Amino acid sequence: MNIRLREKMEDRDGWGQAQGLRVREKLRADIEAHPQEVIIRISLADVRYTDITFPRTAVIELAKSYRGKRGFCLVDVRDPDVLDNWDAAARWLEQPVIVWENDEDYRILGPQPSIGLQPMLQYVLSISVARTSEAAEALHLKVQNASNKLKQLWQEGYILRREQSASSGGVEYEYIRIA
Amino acid sequence: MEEACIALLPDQWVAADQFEYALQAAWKRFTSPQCSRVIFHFPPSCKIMVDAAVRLLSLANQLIAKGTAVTFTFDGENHDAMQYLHRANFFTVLAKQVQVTPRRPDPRTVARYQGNNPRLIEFQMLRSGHESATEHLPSQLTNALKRATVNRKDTRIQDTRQLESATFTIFAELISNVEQHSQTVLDGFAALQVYSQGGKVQVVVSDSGVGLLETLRPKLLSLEVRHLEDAELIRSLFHGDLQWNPAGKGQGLRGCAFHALKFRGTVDIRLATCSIHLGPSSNGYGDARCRQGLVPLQGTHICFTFSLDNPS
Repeated sequence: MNIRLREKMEDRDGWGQAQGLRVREKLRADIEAHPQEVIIRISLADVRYTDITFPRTAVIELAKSYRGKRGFCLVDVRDPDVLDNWDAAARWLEQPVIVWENDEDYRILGPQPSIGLQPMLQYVLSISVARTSEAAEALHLKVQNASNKLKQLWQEGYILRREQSASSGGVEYEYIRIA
Repeated sequence: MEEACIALLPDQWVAADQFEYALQAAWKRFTSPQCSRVIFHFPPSCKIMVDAAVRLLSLANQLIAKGTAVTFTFDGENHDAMQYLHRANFFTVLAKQVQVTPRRPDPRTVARYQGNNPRLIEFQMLRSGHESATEHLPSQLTNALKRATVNRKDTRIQDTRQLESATFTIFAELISNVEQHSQTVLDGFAALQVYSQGGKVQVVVSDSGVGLLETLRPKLLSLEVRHLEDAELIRSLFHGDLQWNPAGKGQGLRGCAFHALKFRGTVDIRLATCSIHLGPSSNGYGDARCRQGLVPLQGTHICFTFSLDNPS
């Protein structure tokens, strides 16, 4: 679902914990009203300045509370200097957030994936749905290894996953990028 | 006859250091056991910079609150510093009980000047218990900065945006800190000064409540670190070396430091009887210089100074 952050704010500048909490509650109400929506795209269009506390309180704490179940990403960021504070907030909370500059180019705010996980993350972010066996083949990995990496990326908040029933009767997952 | 403690300010531009020297000299000269009046004397060419002005404001207001009489004496009818401070809203935020000679400037004339001050300086009050009144302060002060820098031909647009973002962040985070932690009864201040000629900006937030370190020390995880000297503790805070309980404390100040470093900014923190100066080094805020034995001034007074020229 797409949410314009500016519509939840009283002004185009956002700062402090009090404002952050008010915006967070509006965002939470919207999100809870749409239980089927797992990808939350937050547009920063028309948002001018933010400090560090506001994005931390309004968005990133919320993203962390939904980690593993729903994914948050940022779009429509015109001024990259704004992101310094969002990055600081994301690192503070150890919650990664992806910023999409267009359909292909992105930046990860907050903690960066380890070197071992980076190729897998790049792979998942480049396609709409990633399945373990296909990922293993694309990256020349054993299936178990690919499965571990995908699970770790999901646990750390970089990607989402959903259950698929396997032909064997067990449970398999497909992994989706937050975009 | 009551003896007054007289602080003679220098007949020149007065920054925080010169102000502290003048205070120390005055307090040293004063020999009576009881001080019932303090006089601040401004010679004809004395002009006060914002980092000194907020300390003066806070001290004057604290003295009044304690029952000490305070007088500002401006030497001359149309004293440059008085006009300059008047345009900046200074006399509006100064305690009403402070006597001003020859006379207090007419408050009705302030509105005419605000926003048109070429040597831009602006004071705003952080009213204790009126946090909703500060909602627009970071934006207002940043807009003031924008107006002052818009005509600088040597500043690229990108630099201007960075500067505005840095200024907004610093005001927002510091004002948040005052509201959440200072437990202050007296009003605090936020002030901005743009020295176009000198290519410099000063961003100051001041409160007269519990000092920064008194708030922070109990929240430090390590007992050993809690007993560090003030200067070393501040240096470690800005360097990100400290562990907190709960985790994440002090991040606002570090964020401010990050922005200021882009402009090779320095930080000055005035606490009860000491002042700590942090200068940028290759890996963040390294050097911390401390001046001890200053005249007692309650609260925390933080000043970021950064350059408008050639940000990194």
